[in-house]
Amino acid sequence: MGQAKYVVGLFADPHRFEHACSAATERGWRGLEAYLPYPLHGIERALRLRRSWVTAATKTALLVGASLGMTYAIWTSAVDYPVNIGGKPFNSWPAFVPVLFESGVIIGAFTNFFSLLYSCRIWPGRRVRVIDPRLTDDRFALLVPLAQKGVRQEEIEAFLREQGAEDIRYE
Amino acid sequence: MSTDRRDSAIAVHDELSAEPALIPEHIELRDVTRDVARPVEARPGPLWYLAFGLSAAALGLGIWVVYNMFSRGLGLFGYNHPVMWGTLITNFVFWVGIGHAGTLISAILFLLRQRWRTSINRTAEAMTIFAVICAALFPILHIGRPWLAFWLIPYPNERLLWVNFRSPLVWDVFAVSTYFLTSLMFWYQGLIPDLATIRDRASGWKKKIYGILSFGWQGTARQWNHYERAYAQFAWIATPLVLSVHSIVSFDFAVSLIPGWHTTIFPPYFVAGAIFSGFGMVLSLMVIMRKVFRLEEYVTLRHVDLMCKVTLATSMMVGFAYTTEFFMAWWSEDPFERFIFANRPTGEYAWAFWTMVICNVVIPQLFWFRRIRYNMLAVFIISIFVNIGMWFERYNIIITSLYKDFVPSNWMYFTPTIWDIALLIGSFGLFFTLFFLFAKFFPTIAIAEVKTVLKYPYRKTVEQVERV
Repeated sequence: MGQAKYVVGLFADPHRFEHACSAATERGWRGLEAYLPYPLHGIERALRLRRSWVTAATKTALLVGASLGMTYAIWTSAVDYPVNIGGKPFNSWPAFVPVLFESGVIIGAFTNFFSLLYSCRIWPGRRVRVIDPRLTDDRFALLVPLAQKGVRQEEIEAFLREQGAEDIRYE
Repeated sequence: MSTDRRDSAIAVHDELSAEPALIPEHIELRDVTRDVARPVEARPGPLWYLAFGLSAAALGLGIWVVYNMFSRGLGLFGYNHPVMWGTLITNFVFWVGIGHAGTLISAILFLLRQRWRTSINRTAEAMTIFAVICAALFPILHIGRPWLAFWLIPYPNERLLWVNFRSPLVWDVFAVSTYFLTSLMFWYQGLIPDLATIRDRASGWKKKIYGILSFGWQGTARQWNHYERAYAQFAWIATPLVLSVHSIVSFDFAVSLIPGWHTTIFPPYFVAGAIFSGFGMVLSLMVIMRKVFRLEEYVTLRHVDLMCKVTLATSMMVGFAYTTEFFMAWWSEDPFERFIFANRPTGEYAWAFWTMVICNVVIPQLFWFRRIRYNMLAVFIISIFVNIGMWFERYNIIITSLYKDFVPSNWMYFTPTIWDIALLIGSFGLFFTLFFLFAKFFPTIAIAEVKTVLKYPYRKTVEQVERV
């Protein structure tokens, strides 16, 4: 194993953990990482995370999918091979609305799922280094990079202890 | 500790204390993990083997029926001349309907901020997926030449023909496949963090398998940030989707010109019925599961109580729809319409009609009583009646509208054959086989989501705050 890059503070209390996250951000420390067993509301504010782009991607895909579905239905029924069905107009667009809707949903859903995998950098078979198995159970971890400008290792450690970390490790 | 922090902690605490705890207050984070992971980690008991064996046997029966159908043809089933849609389509609508409760719980209740959904959404969503699998098989079998089912897909082909996009049957293909895939992805997204939890507790080859299944999830703040957005997006997508699917299924009937089918009330009526039947199935499964897996502290009596209330509400919507249908038939002054509706409660199929009314409208009224809602045996029995009633609702709609045609010389009574019944049993076999496999190998309660509704971390914080 190479040299440690992070000081890891393990927390048992979600509130003290959240507080530690915002305090570390306020100190201007960069490259913070946090591990949580469940989504803690407010953590994105504490770490100043940007709003996820997944929403925008999905919404765009919904609209694109819906227009593609409608275009396809109109093109096949009215342009490529028009067939007279029950005397209806070739471009009987109100009858294509279910197709429009479902195409939008399916393209949106696929985009949503795969954007999630991409944005989280997760995929089947991805190997991970588990810092502590309890991080998916009942512990929270704040990782502070050692390479902070003008901050010594001891200072980070003392900060984490003061914030209520029950254990300090190097990762 | 600063005053701000103390005040905010107390404010959060007060807000959470305002409503009664969903999960008993002594439950801590690690208890949730342990209790939900227990059935996955332990060897299954004899009860599981028995239930799984019975389901697999029923599935085997279903496969045998399908084999016979392939080799001998659709004549095995009770189809006759006017009744060209028999129990296969009944089963299709029945199973699609069952699925709807899962999406209602996972999507609509999420948007409505109903926190009690967290204990039941995983199982209900799994139920949705398995029910849709069962449902999708029936139209394919029903078309008679299942090997040509791919003709329903609009792809450029040698026949140079496109599908008829004006046909509700093509809308069905779009709706059901979209519903299945979207529900599957929504469900799996929820599973990823929980599978990571199981991975971190497991060892050996189990760790490897759950490692692959959990996609290498670590639960970093960044991951959760994206995760929550994507989850909310799925909820927004799935909400109109679930309403559309059963509406489109109802178009199969409503767009035709058959008296008894050609009504504008069908889409909302079908959606309410679907949610009703789905909750019936969720109740049947949950009441058993919470006992067998000892999850009474997570799926509490209050959860069951709330589910009963939804069932009661949708039961009355369905009852209202039944009444409206009769009113509209009378109001329309259409002799065929009036004839069909007079025939339903009094004709040869009166038994099916009254089974439907008693099971769907009369019996669920017992849920008005708190005593009944808190009695698990009573809830279970009523939920079984709901399942039976909703199957007969579709049977009633399909058969009684068809068997008396416009031309009286065409009239013919429809009787399901032994094969019809065996295929229905087979579909239950498929459903429960998948369900028991799910219950054994996957966490049946959304671990991470339940952790967000616990009171314990807040209570503890306030104690600490007060000590300072």
